[in-house]
Amino acid sequence: MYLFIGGFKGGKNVIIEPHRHEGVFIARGKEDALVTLNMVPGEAVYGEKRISVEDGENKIEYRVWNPFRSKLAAAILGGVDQIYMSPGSKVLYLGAASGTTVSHVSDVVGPEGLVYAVEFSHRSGRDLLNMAKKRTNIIPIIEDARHPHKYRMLVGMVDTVFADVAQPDQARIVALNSQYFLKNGGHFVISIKASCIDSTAQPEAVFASEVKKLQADKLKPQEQITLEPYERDHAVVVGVYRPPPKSKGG
Amino acid sequence: MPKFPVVINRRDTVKNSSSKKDMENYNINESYLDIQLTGRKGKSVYKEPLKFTKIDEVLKKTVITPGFEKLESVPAYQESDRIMQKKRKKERERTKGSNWFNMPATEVTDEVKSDLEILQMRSVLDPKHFYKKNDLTVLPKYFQVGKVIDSPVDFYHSRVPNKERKRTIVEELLADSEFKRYNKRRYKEIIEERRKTHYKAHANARKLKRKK
Repeated sequence: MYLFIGGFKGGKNVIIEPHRHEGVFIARGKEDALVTLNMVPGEAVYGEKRISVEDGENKIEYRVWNPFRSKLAAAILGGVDQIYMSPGSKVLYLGAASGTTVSHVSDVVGPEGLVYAVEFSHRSGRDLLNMAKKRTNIIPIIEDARHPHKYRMLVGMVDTVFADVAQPDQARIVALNSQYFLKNGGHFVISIKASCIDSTAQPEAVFASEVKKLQADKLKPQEQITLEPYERDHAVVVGVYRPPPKSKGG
Repeated sequence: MPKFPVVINRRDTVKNSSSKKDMENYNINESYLDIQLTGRKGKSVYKEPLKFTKIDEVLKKTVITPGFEKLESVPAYQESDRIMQKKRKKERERTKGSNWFNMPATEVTDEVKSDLEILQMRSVLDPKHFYKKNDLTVLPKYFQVGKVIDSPVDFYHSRVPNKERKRTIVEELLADSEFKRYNKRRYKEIIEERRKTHYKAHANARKLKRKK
């Protein structure tokens, strides 16, 4: 359904509709595609397709969000209940890589939101820096996410932590960063790659053990989905950090 | 030095032609007229001419505007809460809201409407394409009509040549000969089937058609 074979040729007409998730849109033609409103009209970040809309005299532009390249897009298409990244929110993004998904998150949170993008590798960090030059709501941080104290002066309190680090100690990394930056009652979205944590165990067992680790650090999981048609043996866990105590008797 | 009895009434000065700068350009001391521009304590007395008189200000609030005589009744000074609520709601419903970057409710023309309808019924367009069922039973209220931008990367494999570009989705489909052939064949099949299964209704329909 989301393969762009015939429906997204240059010059084709499509209809853009709002998605259930705030800040996200769908482009409908012969095929459907997830799109975000381009913050920097006239520029593609990684060669993705763009859709122009002429609304009177002002032109706006949408960028197609490929679920095969972005785990967050795959999670949205997989039907995740909430992504907790509405326009105006602040997001800490761990494992930003070259910034393909980060650019879409920056589109979603809009000019009033903020994305702190943490990436350790200098090579892919270079692309991230170049992208962040044009997008004012991204703060790139080339630092190891295992040591949040090194960038604590750059990052403020955030509403959501997104992690796509694919490391064996992923749960610990997320817990550390949440303790530093995530507000009480804030949310986390973690993508877990089973083979990166334990390549010999069953994926389901790996996901369960990771969720246990998260719970131990007051990261309360609310939802878990697999990214099946788009990624193999991946799961996305969404949850809340230090939720406020439930009021007794309403 | 002879003093002429010159009285300058500030209210009578010509509006918007003189300003403070203009006055500074003139060297008043060398003129015959002795205009006292400084007050008792050496402060400049000259002030900017008033842009609006008091009458203008009062007239802003007036009910009697151009076209007043055409109104059926004198409009109320204050609008009731309920009318204000209605107005706010109407204003709010013009866009999807800030959470979707104020996506507007686009005006539905005939062309746009047929496009939206074809998108709803697209599962019949291509026999080899599976679509999930629609999440809306009605046509969407908030939407925009867009066009895919050309990219130099897919010039050879994913592009519609300029001559074949159309303005709407329906026109694109009508220009597709394979789609038309399939649709014609399918239509004939359905008619043929109806002739066999509902022969009475079919005969009746044909009779009516002939009468016309």
